[in-house]
Amino acid sequence: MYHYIYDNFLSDKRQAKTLAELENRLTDLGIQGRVDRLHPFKSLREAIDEGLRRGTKTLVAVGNDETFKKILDVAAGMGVTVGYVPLAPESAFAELLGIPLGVAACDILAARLTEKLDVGRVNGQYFLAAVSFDAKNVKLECEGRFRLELVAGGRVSIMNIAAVERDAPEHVANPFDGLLEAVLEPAAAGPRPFRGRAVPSVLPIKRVVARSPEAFSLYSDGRELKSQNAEIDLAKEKLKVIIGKSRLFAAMAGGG
Amino acid sequence: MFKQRLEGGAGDTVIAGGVKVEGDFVSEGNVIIEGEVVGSLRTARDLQVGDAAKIHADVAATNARVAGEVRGNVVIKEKLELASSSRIFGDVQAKILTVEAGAQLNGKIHMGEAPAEATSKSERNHAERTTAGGLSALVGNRVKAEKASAN
Repeated sequence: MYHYIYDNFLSDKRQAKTLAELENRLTDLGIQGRVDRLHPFKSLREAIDEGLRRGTKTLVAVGNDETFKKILDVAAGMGVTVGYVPLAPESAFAELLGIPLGVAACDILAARLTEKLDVGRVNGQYFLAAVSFDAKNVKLECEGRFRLELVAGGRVSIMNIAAVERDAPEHVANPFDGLLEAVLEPAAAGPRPFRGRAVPSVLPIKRVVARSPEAFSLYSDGRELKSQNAEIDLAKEKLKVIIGKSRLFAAMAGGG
Repeated sequence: MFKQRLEGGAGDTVIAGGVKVEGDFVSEGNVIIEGEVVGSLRTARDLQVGDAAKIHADVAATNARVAGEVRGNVVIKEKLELASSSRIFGDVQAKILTVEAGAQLNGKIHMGEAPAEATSKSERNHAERTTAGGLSALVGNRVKAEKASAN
């Protein structure tokens, strides 16, 4: 059974036409199912648990990347397949997973091409794409054996697939290999118009702890967290997700 | 958003300029160093040390090409290549060694099949005393040959 979780913003009257199109398409494809709507006073976990008790096999986030992220937080490791219908003008997760924007995503759901992906954890919270932060005053301890330092500052991305920020390093990690990739990009030097992108360092790792004397901002799949110590590790094959053929990691081992 | 992105290598490690690694660094894949490493560096596969790299560590790998500075002992299972810009301050062990003209090697050379971990320090010292002279001549001949071909 399919269980669709609609984001709160879809209650807006301007979304009524899109939702009607979506529901018609799901019916045409024979994959209609239970519907719940996110609400500030409604527990997502309770809604998902109730759906699982009633036989949910596929949980679908309908909304934007924040909706997908909320579902990921709860559903990773539950054994349920997760799908995504992105109804926002742009979506980093949709691009990562090879899912078209809008109602066309229903066809991807119906085709039901799935992969079991590794997911990262930062202080116990799941992330699918990456965790990024400024390296200033942050010390990185990797695997409990060695320390990493960006001598002149820069940006650190701990990637499971790829960082979602617009200025993120141009690197794609393998979400099947049981490893995260630490990508360290030194701060660009020289006058602004002539600044080139410095070559980033890339280290496959399983666990890294980022420590700072003060609380610093981390961006977990684009969502800001503040912490003084961030423990980042990996959960192997924790998320079974519906993907499209144009997914970013299609050429990677296990991704075919 | 991601259209221009490159796909990463399969488990390869790159330590680029501007990055310092301190501690015991162990890798199962190929390792490319352009930055700084302090402690120890061990990989089950190949190692490439760029000309701007500085390594203050004992190094172990299957094959290696060194163009930068290494201060520590270097144990290579198969082939070690020292580029003309390389500076080694430590003992070297490898099955095959090539040295380009201009390379600086300040330490003992041990060549043979036995891995460093398997031989005791005294055995290694004995082996170095008995083979270093012959190897120095071998290295010298190779350097002369490379100089001749360059001319």
